[in-house]
Amino acid sequence: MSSSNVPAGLKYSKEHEWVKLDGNVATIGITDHAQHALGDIVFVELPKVGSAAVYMKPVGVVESVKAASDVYSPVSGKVTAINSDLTGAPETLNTGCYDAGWMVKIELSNPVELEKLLDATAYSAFLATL
Amino acid sequence: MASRTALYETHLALGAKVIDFGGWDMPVDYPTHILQEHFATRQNAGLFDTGHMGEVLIEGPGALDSLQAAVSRDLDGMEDGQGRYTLLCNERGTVIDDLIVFKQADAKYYIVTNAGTRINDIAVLQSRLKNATLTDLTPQTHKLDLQGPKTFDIMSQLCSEPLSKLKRFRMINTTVAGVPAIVSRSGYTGEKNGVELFFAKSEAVHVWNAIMEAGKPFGVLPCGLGARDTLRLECCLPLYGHELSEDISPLEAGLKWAMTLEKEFVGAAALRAQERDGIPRTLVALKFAGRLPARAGHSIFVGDDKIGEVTSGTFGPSVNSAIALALVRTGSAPIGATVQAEVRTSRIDAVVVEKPFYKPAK
Repeated sequence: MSSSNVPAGLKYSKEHEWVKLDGNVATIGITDHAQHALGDIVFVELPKVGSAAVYMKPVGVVESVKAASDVYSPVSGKVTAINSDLTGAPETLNTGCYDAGWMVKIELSNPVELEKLLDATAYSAFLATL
Repeated sequence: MASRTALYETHLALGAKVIDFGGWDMPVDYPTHILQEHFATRQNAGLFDTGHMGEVLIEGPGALDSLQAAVSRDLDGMEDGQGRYTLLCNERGTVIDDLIVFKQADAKYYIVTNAGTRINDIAVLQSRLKNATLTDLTPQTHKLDLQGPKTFDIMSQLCSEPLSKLKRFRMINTTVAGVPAIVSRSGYTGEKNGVELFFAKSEAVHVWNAIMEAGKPFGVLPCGLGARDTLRLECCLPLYGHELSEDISPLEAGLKWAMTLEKEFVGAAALRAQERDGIPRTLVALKFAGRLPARAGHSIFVGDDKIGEVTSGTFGPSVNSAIALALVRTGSAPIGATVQAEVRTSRIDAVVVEKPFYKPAK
């Protein structure tokens, strides 16, 4: 199995989401491992701006050709922005999962949760166990 | 432990994602993923491992009569090498499996079955034979499907017999990469050009590699079950367990053409009665404006009226939209009508269209 791209400087969940922090706002998406496991993504369902995101509860759905998969929020807070480009181009999650494929921005309500997330090294080690 | 075909290690080496399919560890896709594999098959060629399917030989003076009474289609007047798609039904007229029956010679019939249903098919066929024997050839046979416009360009590099004159649903004996093989012009992708190959299981890796090698300049890709499903669903080919089952009448599934109801076969009486009385449900083709797929089991509504359920649904790459087949109350969804599919918490519109969604070029 080819090795996943795991950029340093991001935080990761065991459900294969990444988190980029900018002050109190977290930008989230799915990791390279996740997009490869899902295959071709044909539809993305994103939450409403202003809705609540809850740690490890579904905050979106990614539909691949074969099946639907929930995206679990790696943080709790309020959804402040969603990437509506994904509606017209869901395949961006396959080709640019860490940049153009960002999914949701969340204003953190409980920054302590960040400690539960893995850094790049720990996530890579976790991937090796799968 | 799940069953594996002779190509399991080959798939792993190619980076396949392996899933359980009816008790078989099969590749759902390779690193190329479903869309690329689907388009490769439509534009060039796709190679599918279908070694999990079954092959059964029925021989003897009673072979034709037994099969006539056992399966839905009239098998009279077939030429040597000719095959016909048919259904194996129970007394109620519902479907035990869909099969292709090839006449190899007088009193010798070669039958191709689905993977998960093979053992039961054999028991049922066995119980319906008189003056004929059944041999399960599956343990020593491997099957591969090569499908798409470049199929015959590739096969001409590998076959000792010219295939240029091979007609649809005909099989011939030949060699492929030096290995004795039966080649039939048939398949499950809707493509006009495609073959199914049957040969000794011990040669599976050799033949697979030879086809991949010969097919490289033509753009062949190995394709998994994911692409197999998008290809067949675009062409509205039924899948046993979804559009065909022991709970669905083949008349509801639109398969009257696969039956000769005037013939006496197991299930014929029940089916003739259904035809006379009218069928309560009909299989319709639904095309969505967007790409969000409805899946098997999702409910179909007209307003607040639930009219039925999806039997198969996916994204159709060649038509660039979500597509589905659904079993709905007869008359509730005529061609051109708009219905709603309930996908999770939303209802999405779909239009009832003529089958198939996609027609491959000649």
